[in-house]
Amino acid sequence: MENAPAFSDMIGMWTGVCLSMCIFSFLYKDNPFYKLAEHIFVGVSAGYWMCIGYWQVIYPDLIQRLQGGDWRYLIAAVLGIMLLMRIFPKCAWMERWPLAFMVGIFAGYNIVYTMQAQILKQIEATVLPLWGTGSWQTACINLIVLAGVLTGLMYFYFSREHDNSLWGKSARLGVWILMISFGAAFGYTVMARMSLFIGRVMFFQDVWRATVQFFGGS
Amino acid sequence: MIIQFYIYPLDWLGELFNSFYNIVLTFAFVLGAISLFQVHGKKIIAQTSGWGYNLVLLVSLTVTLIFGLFVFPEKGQPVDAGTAFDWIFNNIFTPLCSTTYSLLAFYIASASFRAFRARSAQATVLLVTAFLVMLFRVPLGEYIWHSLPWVGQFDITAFIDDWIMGGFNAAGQRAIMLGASVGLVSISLKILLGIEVSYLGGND
Amino acid sequence: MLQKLAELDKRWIFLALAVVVILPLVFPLGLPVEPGQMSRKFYERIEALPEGSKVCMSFDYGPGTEIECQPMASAVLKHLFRRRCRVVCITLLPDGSMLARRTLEQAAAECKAVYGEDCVYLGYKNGGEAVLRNMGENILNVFSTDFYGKDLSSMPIMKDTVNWDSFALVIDWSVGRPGVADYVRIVGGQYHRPILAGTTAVTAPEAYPFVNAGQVEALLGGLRGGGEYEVLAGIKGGRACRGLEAQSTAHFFVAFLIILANVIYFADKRKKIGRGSGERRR
Repeated sequence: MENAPAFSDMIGMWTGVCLSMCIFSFLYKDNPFYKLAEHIFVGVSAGYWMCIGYWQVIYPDLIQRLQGGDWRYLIAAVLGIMLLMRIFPKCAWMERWPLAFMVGIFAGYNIVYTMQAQILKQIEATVLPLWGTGSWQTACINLIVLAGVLTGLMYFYFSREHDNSLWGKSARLGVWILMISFGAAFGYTVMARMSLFIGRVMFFQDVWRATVQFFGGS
Repeated sequence: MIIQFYIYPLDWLGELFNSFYNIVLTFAFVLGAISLFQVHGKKIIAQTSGWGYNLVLLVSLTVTLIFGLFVFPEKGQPVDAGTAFDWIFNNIFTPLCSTTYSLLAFYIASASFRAFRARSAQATVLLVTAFLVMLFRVPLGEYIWHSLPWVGQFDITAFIDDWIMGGFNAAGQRAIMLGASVGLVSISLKILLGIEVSYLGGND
Repeated sequence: MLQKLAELDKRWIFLALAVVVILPLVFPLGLPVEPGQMSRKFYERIEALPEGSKVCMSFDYGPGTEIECQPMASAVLKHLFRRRCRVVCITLLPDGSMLARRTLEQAAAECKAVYGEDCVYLGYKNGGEAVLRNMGENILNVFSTDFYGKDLSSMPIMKDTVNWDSFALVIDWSVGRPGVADYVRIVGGQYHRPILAGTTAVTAPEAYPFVNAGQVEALLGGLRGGGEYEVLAGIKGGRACRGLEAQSTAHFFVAFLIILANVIYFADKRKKIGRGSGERRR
């Protein structure tokens, strides 16, 4: 038999249950309990992110490195402080420098790695043989992928009218394949959303079991 | 980043810039917390309607910051297991975050009832695919399918995995990915060439 | 009657959904969970790892999607420990940092894995692919200490851990960005490491092009993926398997709602057409 939970655990679990119920009360209608929980959530989230950011990044990667004499990291500190200057309207222009730095890095990554992994590699995986694949299923799937990608891209090319020409007809075939794709995505979205609620019900169940155990039940 | 990719001896420069990037990005978390103090502090001072909620927000933010930054356990850091910060994460942050997300389950059910209509042939195809995935990617659907005479022999799960997800879905998603990626590369080039500067704000 | 149903207050739908989900959790139906091809591929890939192999696992999910990613992460971790593999855990999402710690601590305690020898948790770093890129050069330059602030260089597991080449396999649990795409772009694309992934159900369709292109070797999707893996790994009473029955009834309920809505729609349409032709006749 598992050990009975401690009193502090019970307090914690029931705090979680109460806050969860406050959020669920929104399903009936907007109310002060929901608003209260919502504001606590925003406050705690911002605090949590900042604390994790400090202990996992700023302290080991900036403060400790500067303490160790690696003065190159002063540049990062200055850029970081310039980003914070946004809060003073007169100095808000300073934030453009770190912003430009971050956007530059982002753009650099995209040009190289998006091109390699999400364009070239994907094209390579689209143009596959239809003969000699080992099974007719693989050949059919390869054909579906080839036709689907080509016609899908034709549909997304809006510079040419989707008229009754071969181009327009191909684009219309692309819409059909996209619709199947969206249907599958919708099915998976329902799956994801339901799982989230199931998770909460399982949490309530666990708390209930722990409470029964705490009061000496089995 | 581009130079680092092509000229390996300059890799150290890319590595250093990456480290700077991580740090500067984390300062955004600090900026977020400070902005909250600024925005909600102003509302509390002005006593606008519902200022009590703003006060609750700032109190919860302050308490989390105090426990997460200044209250150390005997050994280690405030973010370790068993600390007050850990308690806040487990019993306040986690339930609030999970429950807020779980509301989506109710809204997707309601939206399905209100908006999902087989108005055209294409919408019907979407609907049929969604049905196949919804009903036969769960144990109850599989159980019912395999109990059916004749058709029950057919492996519906493998059909959904290989043909729908690995075939049609992969094709559609790849078309979207290729379109979006070409757009991303072109916007990145525009940024690097100074043609696109809207991220700096204003028109200058 | 149908008109009344069409104007049904959405709160009745909410209530019905709650009942449909709660009932099978309270009174389980005992339905079997059949692992699919993709889960088997995932399982066999881990089975094929030689004893002592080093695996990097990234926990890029938060509490909001914990129910989808945590069961599969936990099942795979236990499977790896049973296979005597060594696991290095990281996270690229601040929300995931505490969850990863909890999941690793629980799995390690259950499988008697020694921290520092069989597993280590390096913690969180901000910056997505910039972090992954730097880990390709030297991991100790990115993570100088573990999540708890302990020095990494003295830990046995880190002795021969230099960069991505040190790992036989990389596994990512993700909800979006940073996530599978970042691993495919950097770890797969640049350092040619094999990648396995587990995503939330909503992200899974977007990850299929990577699977189709061989950039991701196998993919587990959502609670279903977790349930299938729990069955394969022989985990009794796992959270995912527990939840899958409620998932079944919820899906059938949504399907019923869609059918009902369409019946109302077509009945209404027929009525309007009938009324229109009647007026024309008059």
